[in-house]
Amino acid sequence: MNWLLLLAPLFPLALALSLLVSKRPLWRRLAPWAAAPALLIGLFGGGLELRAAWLGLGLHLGLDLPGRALLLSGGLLWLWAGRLAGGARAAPLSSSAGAHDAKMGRSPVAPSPPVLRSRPENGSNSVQGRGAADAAAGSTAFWVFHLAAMAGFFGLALALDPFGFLSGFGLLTLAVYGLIVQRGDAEARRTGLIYVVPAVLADALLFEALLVGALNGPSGGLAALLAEAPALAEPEGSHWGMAALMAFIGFGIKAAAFPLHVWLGPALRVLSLPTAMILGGLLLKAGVLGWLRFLPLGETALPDWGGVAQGAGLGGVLVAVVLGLLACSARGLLVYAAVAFAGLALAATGAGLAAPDTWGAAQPWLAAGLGAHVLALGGLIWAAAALEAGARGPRLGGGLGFGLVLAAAGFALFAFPFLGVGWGFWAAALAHGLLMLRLAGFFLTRPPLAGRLAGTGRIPEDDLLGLYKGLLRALRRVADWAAQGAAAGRAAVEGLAERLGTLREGLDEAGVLEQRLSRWPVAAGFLLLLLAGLMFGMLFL
Amino acid sequence: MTLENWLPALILLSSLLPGLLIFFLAEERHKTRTILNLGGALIKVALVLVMVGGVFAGRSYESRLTLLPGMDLVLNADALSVLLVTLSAGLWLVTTVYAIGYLEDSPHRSRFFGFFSLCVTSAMGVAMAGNMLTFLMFFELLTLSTYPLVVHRGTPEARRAGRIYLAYTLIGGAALLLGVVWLRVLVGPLDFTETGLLADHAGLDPNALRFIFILLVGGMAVKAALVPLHGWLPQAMVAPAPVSALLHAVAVVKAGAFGIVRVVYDVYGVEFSAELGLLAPLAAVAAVTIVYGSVRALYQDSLKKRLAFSTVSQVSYIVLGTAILGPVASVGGMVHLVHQGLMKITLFFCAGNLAETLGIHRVQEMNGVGRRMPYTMAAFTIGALGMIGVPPLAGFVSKWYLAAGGLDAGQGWVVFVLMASSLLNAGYFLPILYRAWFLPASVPWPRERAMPGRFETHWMLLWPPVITAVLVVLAGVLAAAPFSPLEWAQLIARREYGL
Repeated sequence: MNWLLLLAPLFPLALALSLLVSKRPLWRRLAPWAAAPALLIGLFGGGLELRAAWLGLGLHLGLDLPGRALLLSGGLLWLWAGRLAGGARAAPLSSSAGAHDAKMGRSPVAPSPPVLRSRPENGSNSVQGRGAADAAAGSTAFWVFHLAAMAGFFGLALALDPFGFLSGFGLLTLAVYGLIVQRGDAEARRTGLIYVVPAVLADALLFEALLVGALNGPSGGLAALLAEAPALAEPEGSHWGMAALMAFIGFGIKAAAFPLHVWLGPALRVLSLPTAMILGGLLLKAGVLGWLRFLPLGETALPDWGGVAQGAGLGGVLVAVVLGLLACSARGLLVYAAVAFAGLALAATGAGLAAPDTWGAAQPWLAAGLGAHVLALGGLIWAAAALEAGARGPRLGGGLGFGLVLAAAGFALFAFPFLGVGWGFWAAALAHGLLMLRLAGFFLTRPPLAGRLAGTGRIPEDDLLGLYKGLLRALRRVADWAAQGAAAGRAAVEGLAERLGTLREGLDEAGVLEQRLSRWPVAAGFLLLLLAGLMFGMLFL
Repeated sequence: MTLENWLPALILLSSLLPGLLIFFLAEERHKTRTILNLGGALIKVALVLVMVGGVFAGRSYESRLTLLPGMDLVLNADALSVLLVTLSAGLWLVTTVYAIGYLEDSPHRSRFFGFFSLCVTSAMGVAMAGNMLTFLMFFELLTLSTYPLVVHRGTPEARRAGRIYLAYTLIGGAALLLGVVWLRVLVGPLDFTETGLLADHAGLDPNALRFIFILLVGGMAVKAALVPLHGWLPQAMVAPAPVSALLHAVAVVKAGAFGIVRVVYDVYGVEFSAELGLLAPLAAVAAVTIVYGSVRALYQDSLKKRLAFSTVSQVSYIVLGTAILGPVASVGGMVHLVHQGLMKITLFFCAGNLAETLGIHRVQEMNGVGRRMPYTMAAFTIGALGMIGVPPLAGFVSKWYLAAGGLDAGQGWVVFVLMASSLLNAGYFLPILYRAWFLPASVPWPRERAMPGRFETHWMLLWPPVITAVLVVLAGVLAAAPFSPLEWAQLIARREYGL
């Protein structure tokens, strides 16, 4: 019976390979249902566990709490995304897929779902890109990558050993890259690059992090590398600090935790709906799963690491909430909702590291929150795409997604008392609640409120430095206000106004600089510098 | 005389005799040549399998011929030699099939296959050499038998590449010869010993030993293409694809890396090498080569040149694994000897298929080729992802052990070298995969040829890369299974370190 666990990743993988080598319609018909075995295993496979010493470097599959939560919620989301990609529910939302397929020389497939995009920026028209992604979403290539990503996701959800986990992650990373770039145009290529560079970097970091964990295992040396590895469970082992840092950063990139989230906005912009659901709902949670699974939560008290993680997580929540409140599109809002949740998860992980005694009671609530957030984000992405496509029905979906977000946040809140957290957590929870209100406002009163908020400025939703730009603008307003005040008491404050004027010019200059810095490669460059600095510090200081 | 005495010699003869016979065959004797080629390759594989089983069971095989008093020609089978012999025999079989398909209509086939067989014979001799003299002899024979293959096309470019190749390798060979003679004078017969033959010779001048080490390793570093002695390798890619495949995966560069392993492990002994302070500089050279080769590969538009620089980088993994003190790194280096061979031969087979079928030589010409040649490009994709180190493919296992070995030995910088290499590998392989699978085809292809059969290309060109790509997957997925390359590499490391 234990071998049934392999069905979860191997069934979609086998379907993907079948689609590659055979044109039988059966494979295409089965593809939307490929997640069914995983869902059943999540429901009924509680006691299953598989150890195969000869597979990989010693494969160990099983269902821990967060893994099971992801298997269940992920199974549902994959089925949902599969049905959308199959066209069963997408018909009212799609208009151009059939025409595109005909144009591209393919037989028309079922209508495909819409693309999640922001409003056209700089006057550019998104219709062409949307049509291309629609067409791509129903193609064989789409299904192959979709199924491969599914296999990778279920593999990593079940894998309790580093080799299996990294294999699943590798497959998921590459398959999502395929899903992004399959459109083949310049924008998809650029987006693919923005996605794949941090993703590969994260994979490289995780490789080293889990390797150190394996080396520090109880049996040590050669034997440890072939046995089930307890990953990062030995804080006294050599290089543990470097490995933990790499795990935080590597999984942080995957989870889109602030400030490692720079890839998420552009990636969500051009994706077809099922892919956006997968990326937003699942890929990010796989990163969170990594923290929960490979850090020594509930085992060893690490107050320093826990404190840093809590600080980084809570800070990330606050920044994401500010940026989310200023966002003027569904995409921006959803990006920052995801970033905020990653921050909450990171902070909770930090609390677990700092106080291991509390982890046992808090873990089920966090696992439930993780699962609920998968479905919530998927639902919201679906609703947002439908809303932007002009459909009237999505309020229900939006409401449902919103409810699930509240549920996810609620589960997380339930975990807080167990973790014995301080006021910072509650402040972050409150801020997160504000973001949820903004989300509700977007879905329920979208035209007037969104219009008003959109007028507040052009916050770039996908950059690292949006916050600073907002702050600069606020400072400029203060300078304006001060300059006006100077007219009433010119003589008294002339000197000050002059100085403020100088400041304003300086801020204008800073604005231009900011504009340049807000470009993604610059932000990513900062990110790389940050990582390099951290590594340098770990190695030589 | 028993099988234990004859088996190493028979393995050598299984390619030497067909090679000598093929030289005398007329060009049109296609069938006879094919039977000799494939017959020899199959017999060799069978004999090697017998030897693998025997060595695993603890039997020892040795063929010895006394040339002069105190100077024996020795072929034997220890765990290390069996690793390379098995790889060479297996890949020679698939390369022979590939070469037959590749050179179907080209001139001078008998000359080509004659030297091809001599080349494999030499590689086998290098692998099974039981002492430095035998090693030196086959090492030089390898140089001479591969030169005609490099210049096979006879074009000015090929002749120039041949001259560069010969100049580099003969100078390296001279250094090696000097080192062997000097060491022979100092310590007498140079039979390889599992923990190092110098372990039994106390009181030697350490500076002399250091200098000899530089001569020996420097001579071999030419073939292993360590920076700055790598200049010949990218030039030699003008050779036909099967030759490039053999050169990069089995024969020449592998012989160089294998020689360095022999010198460190079986001549000096890994611990004595460390005591003399020789391993740290060797590791540094390997690390520089790893990064330099990858950076150079990034900027190559010629597909084969990109793969050549990739070889420069990847072969140094083996040297790096050898130069780091500790069994875990040794396992990484040893297993990469096999894994790199499987991955690189797959990539060169695929590059040959693209050139032969569609006339594609440059990366820029590869747009959309995945749809035109899906099986070839699927194999290429597996090879490339393996090189990057994506799990669960073979390259991941190598990197896992190398990085672990670095950490185990307290040399954390190894981790960053490997990480940089992986990222650079991704940088030069992923754009190729993107072009091939996601960009529209830039038809017409540069020089498309109609191939017989129902496949995307001739079946003899198609199946070898598909088979080796499957092996790349299996080497990773079944890494811990009995008789896997990893298992064998662990056996070597245990014996080397007396665990």
